[in-house]
Amino acid sequence: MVFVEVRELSKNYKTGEVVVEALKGVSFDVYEGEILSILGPSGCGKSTLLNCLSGIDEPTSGKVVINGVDLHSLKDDDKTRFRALNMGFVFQFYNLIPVLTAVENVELAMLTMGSSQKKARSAAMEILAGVNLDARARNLPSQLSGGERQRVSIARALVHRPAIVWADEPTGALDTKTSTDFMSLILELNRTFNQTFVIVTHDERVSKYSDRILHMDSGEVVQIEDNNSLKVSENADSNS
Amino acid sequence: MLIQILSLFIGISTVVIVVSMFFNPVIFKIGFRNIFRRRTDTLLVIMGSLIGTALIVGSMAMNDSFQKFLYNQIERGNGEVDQFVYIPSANRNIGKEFISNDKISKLVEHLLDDSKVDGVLPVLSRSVTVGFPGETRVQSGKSVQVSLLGVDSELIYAWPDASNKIKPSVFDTADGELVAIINEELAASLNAAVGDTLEILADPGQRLLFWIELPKVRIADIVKGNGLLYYQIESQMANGFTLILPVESARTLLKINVPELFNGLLVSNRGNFIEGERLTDAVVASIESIAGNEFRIDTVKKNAISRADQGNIGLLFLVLSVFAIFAGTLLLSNIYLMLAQERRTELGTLRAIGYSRRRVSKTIVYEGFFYSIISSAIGVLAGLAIAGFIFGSFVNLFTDIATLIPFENAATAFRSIQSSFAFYVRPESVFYGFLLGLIIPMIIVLLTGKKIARTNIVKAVRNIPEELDKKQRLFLNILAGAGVLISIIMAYSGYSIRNATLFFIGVVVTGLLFPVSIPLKNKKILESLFSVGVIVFTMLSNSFSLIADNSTSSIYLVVAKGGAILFAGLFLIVYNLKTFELILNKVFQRARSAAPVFKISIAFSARNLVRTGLTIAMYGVVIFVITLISIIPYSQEQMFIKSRDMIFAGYDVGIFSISGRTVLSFTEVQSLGQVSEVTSVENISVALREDGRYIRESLYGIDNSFVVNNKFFEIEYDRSLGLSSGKQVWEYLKLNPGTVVVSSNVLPGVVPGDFIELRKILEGESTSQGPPAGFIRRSLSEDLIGSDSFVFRVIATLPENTISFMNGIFVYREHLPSSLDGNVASRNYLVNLSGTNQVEKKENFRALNEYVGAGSVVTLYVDDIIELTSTILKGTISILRSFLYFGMLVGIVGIAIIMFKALYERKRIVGMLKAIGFTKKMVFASFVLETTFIVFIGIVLGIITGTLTSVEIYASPEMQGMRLYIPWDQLVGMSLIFYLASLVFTIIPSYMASKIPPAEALRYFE
Repeated sequence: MVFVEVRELSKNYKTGEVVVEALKGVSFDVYEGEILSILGPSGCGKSTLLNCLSGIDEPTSGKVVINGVDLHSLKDDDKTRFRALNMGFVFQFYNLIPVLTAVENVELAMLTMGSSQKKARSAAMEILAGVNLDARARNLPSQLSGGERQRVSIARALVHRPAIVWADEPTGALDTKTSTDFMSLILELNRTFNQTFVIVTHDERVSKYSDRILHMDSGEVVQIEDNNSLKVSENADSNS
Repeated sequence: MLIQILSLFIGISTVVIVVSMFFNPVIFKIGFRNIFRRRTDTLLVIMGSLIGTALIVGSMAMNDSFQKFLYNQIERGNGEVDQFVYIPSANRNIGKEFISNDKISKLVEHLLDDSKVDGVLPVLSRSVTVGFPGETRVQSGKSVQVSLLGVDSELIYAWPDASNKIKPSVFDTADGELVAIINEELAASLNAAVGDTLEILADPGQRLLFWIELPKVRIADIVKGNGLLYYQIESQMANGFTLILPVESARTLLKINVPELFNGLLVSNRGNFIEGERLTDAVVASIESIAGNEFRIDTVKKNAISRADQGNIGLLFLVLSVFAIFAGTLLLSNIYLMLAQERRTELGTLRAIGYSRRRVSKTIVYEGFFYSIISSAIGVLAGLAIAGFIFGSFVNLFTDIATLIPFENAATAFRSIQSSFAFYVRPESVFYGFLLGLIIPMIIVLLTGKKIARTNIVKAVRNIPEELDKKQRLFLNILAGAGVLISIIMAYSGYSIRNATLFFIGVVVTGLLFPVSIPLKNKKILESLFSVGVIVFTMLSNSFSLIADNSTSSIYLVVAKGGAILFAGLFLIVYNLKTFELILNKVFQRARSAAPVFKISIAFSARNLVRTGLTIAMYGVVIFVITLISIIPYSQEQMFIKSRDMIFAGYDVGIFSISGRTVLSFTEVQSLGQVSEVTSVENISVALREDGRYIRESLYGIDNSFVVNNKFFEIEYDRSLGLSSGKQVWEYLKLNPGTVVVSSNVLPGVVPGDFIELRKILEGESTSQGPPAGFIRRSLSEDLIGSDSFVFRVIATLPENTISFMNGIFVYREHLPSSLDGNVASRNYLVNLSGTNQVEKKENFRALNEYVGAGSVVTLYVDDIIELTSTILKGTISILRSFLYFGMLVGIVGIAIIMFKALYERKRIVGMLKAIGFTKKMVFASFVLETTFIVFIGIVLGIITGTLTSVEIYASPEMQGMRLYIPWDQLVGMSLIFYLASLVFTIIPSYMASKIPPAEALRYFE
């Protein structure tokens, strides 16, 4: 089932007198429960595309319909509310709040939705256990490794069971092994919860975990590749 | 001297830094360009830094203005008179003995030969009453007390500041007519002109002897009153009225028949006002080499300058500034800590590519140097503006006071003084202020530079926080332990040598440092307990006699107590910030939509201990001082207002004779329409036996009207008498001979049930003139007191610190032994005015005052006194508070800087929050709430610790009887204003944060 419809999405930036076309009439669909990678070289517009899809940036023209809702027709507060209820985010540099512990960072997403403290804490501990970080729940981000921080970030993104998770270069700051572990986790969560993931990356190894790969270049979608044949299977992963 | 040394140090450091810039062009470029990186931040840093300089320069300017004013008064009052030489008399009525002509000649000759002296003038001085013929004896307000100086008619022309004022031959007359010159002030007071004739009443005893013709003088000239022509003899109420005539005329006028001509010698040191003062010791030595032991040499100029220097209110501003400057130091520490944090990555990179620690530290030093120079320069201008504003407030206050002074002559004198009050600042003060304002920021910058240089390169480049490692923690523990040891020694030494301040500080520092010295990780409870312990110890410190005895007499101990409460309170709060966070989160977690906002805002402040602690301290310190200077004078004012019924024992008006006798009879006063009740009180000077010696005291002989109408009800009485209230005490006094009521203000050791012994003071001993007995407890020699002693039983005491004009011993007049009664210093009246409201009473007072007249009778209305005192207290405190309000800028700028820094530091976090569902309002609210949390705690800390310190001050034994009143409305109003001002400064960064587009924020790198 199509979960996200993207039609003729364009985004222009004005730098002085020069107009930069970051996105040029991009159109594609995202299916429910899939892992979609957006792959391309640096400066091709991947992050811009992600930002426009998730509603944290306004496109110059075009439409993004998520689960039947025209995202950019909503007012700013409504869009924010929509994000809080339906989306999760994983950032390259984690963007954890340094003064909050791991569990406090995770439960923040629930609290933002209006959940009670008790429910938020319970859900946060549960998801941290799911990413094997329950023992480190009371540590500050400065006391965690890069991989642990990214797992906290994932936990925050998933704690409120969002319909879709957007990840912008989630392994960009991780070493190879940690990246592999991280992507395996993504895969597992995807299978367990039927979570839709859209991952922006320049790393082809990451894209191997996806169901489909959307290739971008110079603000355009050049190819959408079905990755089922190339995808790393769970069994292959556990054997390696 | 210290200021000069510090200024030299700063001057040299400045030169060194500037020179080093030439040798480090790249580092200089980085440091300099960093100033323009974020202009708002730079503006705030400069604003925060300039406050210290502004307050220093402002204080120095106030100091200079007041000093110049005081020195002007001295110059006017003393002029060229540096020393006054005389032989003191045992007879206080006379005051000074005549000096033999031979001795005078010797002294004059010797001093005229002395190169350090430029003027010598023998004088015959006396205080007399002067008026137009027929008006001197009458209490009509048209005669005044004047300082009469009989001078050598030749030497007067050689006197430095008289020679160009006194015309030659002004004293030449035909027919032996007595002529004199008077000063302009006296002429204005009497409305006299050249050629008028004045009558002189030299002996107050002759006031009623109207058949005796009083001597007259013609006014030969009126001159400007300065120096000698403004000179006042010490026993007279200084009003600036001087009359000078040749000594022969003075002798005729005063009917002096002794062969000696003069009773004093004025000596002028060479040089101007200040130069002359410096020669004082040498000239005194020169005089002593000729004069015998019988002579006393009063160094009048030097004493006046010394009093002026000590009583200079400018110093008070400097002391108050210290607190604001301390808060400014905290702000600067905060600023440069944040700056260091901000620059860490780039400085780590510089280290990585090969720059030495020293050179890297210079980027911060150069940047800080520019901030310091700019802020110091602006601070000088700001300081002068502040001083000018404060000065203007003082001038307005003086104007208000002048209109309220009930004595016309005093009001006139006050106004003439006020006119010489002008804003003045010495160029050196500006220069020193500028340099001193540089010291604190430069020291902090240099320390920050050193800290930066030590940073680990990898951690700096990767922006990994540097926590204290085990070794550093242990070092801190050991350092604190050493501090504990030193403070224990301090406490022990203080106790041994009976130094209360040393002892107190030793104990307090031990209490504050001890938990820091313990190498435990979780020691919040221990730290809190010790902080509470320090506060409790301070509040109960008067239980130690060593501390109680010095509680209010030692300013250092008072400051130490205040500091102890403030810092212990601050530590307690900082140790428990997370507890506050927990409590607030629990409270607000029910507000579902607001819960995440509260969580974020409180977490950022509560978990950033150093930054938050410093900001809370900034607010706390300044609010603490403002609270203290609000509460104490307010309490005094309230006590004064509530003492309305004590000032004149419940009566509206006091009519006091200052010359000793009054021509108003009781019947006359009673018959006046303006009067509803009147009582007469005889003020009799008696000798009270105390500790084997005799002391002059005032004995008030009261009548039945006083017994019935007085309102001295708050009174400690002898319980064995079977009385049930204070009111009954007076009735008991009336019915029982041999009993007295005593004021504890003058006899603090006497309690109800005690006995006191009184004796008569023999005639010849002054019974009038000068301040009331009890203010100055003068010992009396045995030959001046009678042989009969009278013992009285004390049935009650008026509490200590009772605000009243009547402080002494009260006895029912009819029970006064006849041999005690007779030495009446004055007969005063206490009057209740007719009228049903304030307006009517005020009108009746005016009529009464006009009838009674001025001259040697003073009429005082209790509401006027209260209004005058209130105005002085309120006005002065308002001015001091205004000065400190500028210091509050420290806190306000501090919080603004923190929030602007937060805006940049948390830009990506803000982007993330918006991504996960924080609306603009929520982001804005989180910043505002963070400000609120910090500012609120800082204000509350300042108010609570200031209040506790006031309570502690009032708990000391010397403040017994004084009550504490807290101006809650003023404190709440002030808090609200500071909070709103802080909010205004943080609205901009809060708004900016809320407006950041999330996509842009997420891409942001510092």
